[in-house]
Amino acid sequence: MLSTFFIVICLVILRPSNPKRKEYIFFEISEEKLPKEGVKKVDIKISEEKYFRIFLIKTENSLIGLSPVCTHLGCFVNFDKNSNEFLCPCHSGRFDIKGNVLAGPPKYPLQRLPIKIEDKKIFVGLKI
Amino acid sequence: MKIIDWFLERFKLKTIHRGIFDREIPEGINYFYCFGGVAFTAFLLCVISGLFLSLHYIPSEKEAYQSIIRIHEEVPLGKLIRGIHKWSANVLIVSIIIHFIRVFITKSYRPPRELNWIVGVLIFLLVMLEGFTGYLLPWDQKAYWATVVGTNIVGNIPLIGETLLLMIRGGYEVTGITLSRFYSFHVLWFPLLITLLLWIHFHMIKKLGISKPL
Repeated sequence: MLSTFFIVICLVILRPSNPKRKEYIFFEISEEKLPKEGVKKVDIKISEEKYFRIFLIKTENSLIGLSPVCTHLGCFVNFDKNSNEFLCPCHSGRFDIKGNVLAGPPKYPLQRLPIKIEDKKIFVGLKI
Repeated sequence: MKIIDWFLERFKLKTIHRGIFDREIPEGINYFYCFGGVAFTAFLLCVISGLFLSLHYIPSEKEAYQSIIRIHEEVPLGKLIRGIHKWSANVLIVSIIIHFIRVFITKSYRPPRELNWIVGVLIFLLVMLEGFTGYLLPWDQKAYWATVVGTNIVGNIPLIGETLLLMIRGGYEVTGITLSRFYSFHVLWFPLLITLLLWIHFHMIKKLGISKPL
């Protein structure tokens, strides 16, 4: 009886009262980091000594930013040049070059990162 | 030695010593019966080295990683103590598993020792949780993403998954809030529970004795 009460109190205390999702913060991508054609792994500098890895995909005239975090459980996906797919090492989820699910346990496509252009400079939005 | 005897007599320590350490051991046991004791020794090493580490570790988003570097580079013997903490944790888990297999093979879980088996499994689960929460504390990339993946597994439970995830992380993402609650679990809640369960475990061994080998 007392222990049930105790456990309930613990759970109530652990529950955040007003959880918020993070907002996008925009970071500049320098010109030399942009891929000419195909997929490129880019490290975005967030702060001193802190980098965040994203995928930039250039197809014809469009530029897509993809988060490397698998939508299944959150492992980092790798790009496989031979099959032109993103592969997740944890449970072999496969995504095509635009991030759509091809096979494996993930239910949702890879998250697309918003890209904006201001004064001919390219920015990518990250949730940090 | 007379002085020691003099103190022992005043504190009545000799009878206590007998009460704690004098056990009847059946014939024919082998070295695999030691792994419970090895696990307990590893647990004690973890506690002692953890006490020293907690003097220098700072559980905050900005300083956690820096404080680990400081333990490595500036604190005297810091690297050694962190190494002891890490390796005794590894030894702890491995020896618990060997102990677990030994008890299973020798059928020591049979009545009247069923409850001891149950308590042992609970201790094993808590030690695994200790490992999981301790892994986040260095607050580097590996630790962060391991926790993201590990807690996402909990989030995939139907119906209650999201609520549980919020309770564990303290928000939708792994942040400083997660770090401070994992620190609390790692250094206070789980060790306290493990100590309590260990006492129950040992008390039952004392009362029921060690099972006869096959």
